Amino acid sequence: MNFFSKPKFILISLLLLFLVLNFLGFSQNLRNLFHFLSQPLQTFLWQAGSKTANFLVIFSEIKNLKKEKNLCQAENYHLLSQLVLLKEIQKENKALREALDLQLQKEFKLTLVKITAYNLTADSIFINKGKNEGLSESLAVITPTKVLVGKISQVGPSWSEVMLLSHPESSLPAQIFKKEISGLVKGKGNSRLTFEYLPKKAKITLNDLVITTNPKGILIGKISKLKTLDISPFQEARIIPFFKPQENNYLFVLKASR
Amino acid sequence: MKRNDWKKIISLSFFFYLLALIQGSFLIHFSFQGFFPNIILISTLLLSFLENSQNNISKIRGFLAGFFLDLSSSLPLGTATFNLGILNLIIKKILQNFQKNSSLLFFLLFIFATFSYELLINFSLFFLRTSPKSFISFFKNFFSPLLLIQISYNLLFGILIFLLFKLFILKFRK
Repeated sequence: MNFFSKPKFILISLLLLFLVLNFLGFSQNLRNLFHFLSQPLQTFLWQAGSKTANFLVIFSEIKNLKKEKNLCQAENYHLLSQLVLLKEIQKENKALREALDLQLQKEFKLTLVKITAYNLTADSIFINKGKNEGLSESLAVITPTKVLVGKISQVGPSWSEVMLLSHPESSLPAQIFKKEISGLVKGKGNSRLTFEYLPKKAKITLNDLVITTNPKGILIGKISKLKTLDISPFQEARIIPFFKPQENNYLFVLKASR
Repeated sequence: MKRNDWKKIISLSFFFYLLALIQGSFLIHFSFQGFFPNIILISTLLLSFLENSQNNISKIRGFLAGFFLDLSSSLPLGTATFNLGILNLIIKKILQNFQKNSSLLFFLLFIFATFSYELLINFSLFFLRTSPKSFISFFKNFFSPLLLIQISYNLLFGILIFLLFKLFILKFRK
């Protein structure tokens, strides 16, 4: 009789064998031996499997990678635009803080505007607000640091043109700070300003500050050059304006004094 | 037992030993929903399906394959040995009554074998556990979509290897 030809004998003998192995604790020893002998090959197979799986994942991920790349690009553009916006808000914030520091809001009704363009040849600038925001012609425009820029000469629905002080058609009464010497500030074009009708006897020095008289106290510029004419009862001074368009982004329109 | 038989047993042992290592260390990186192919079960079934003989080696093959499954897993020693061994004997009995060239037979037999193996293993573990037993919860947990995934994954590998083997055999015979 062949032992292996009888399945019953195979089953019974195996059952007894495994019962003995499990109850006497030899199963654990057998497993330990198996793992001890197999460890080098298992380590090799594990690493090979990991590398193969990582390699194959690339093919399945290609479609996702392209999609992910497009998403990242779109997000990047969105974030860049957000960054630009934040920088603008930062500048706006700085201008507002300066105005607050100077307590401008206590003196005047202010409308914050932004320079959008500069017309160098015409001595004017364009701002981003107009009729829709309640602006009208002849309203004065100042910087956050209380420097006079000019006045609104043209108003559109959502834009306005500001005639700078240096415009040939611009003129306004002014005085020298702390000296009560009054005169007329006139524009000469190409960013030039003159202070005219100053009394000949008035003691004016270089770098004297020129401010407005109505409303009082808004800076215009400083005296850079004095000119005296023998035949005239008046003297003239050249003013360097404090306002420089390229150094400013935000301005305030004075709607009315409080 | 003849000398040749012992040689075959040793060769089979080495073969299943390698498969156990590949299954446990290599194929584990190709898991799907936490399942990976049971290539020992697949190879046992394929060998039963493709061989013509009813010799003694074919009878103990299932037990040998199960033994290495037991060693490489955390199952109590003997669980997979008995389950796979008995399953192999059942498969061989079924194959005696059918023509083996049918792919449909292979397909159906494969599903039956995978399902039966999973049922036997899970039931063995359920029976061996000391925690409170509830047959209702056992069947509820067993008959889940995960079982379908396991069977499908094994079937996919089984079909691939079956087709490759058939192509290889055809080429060799030519």
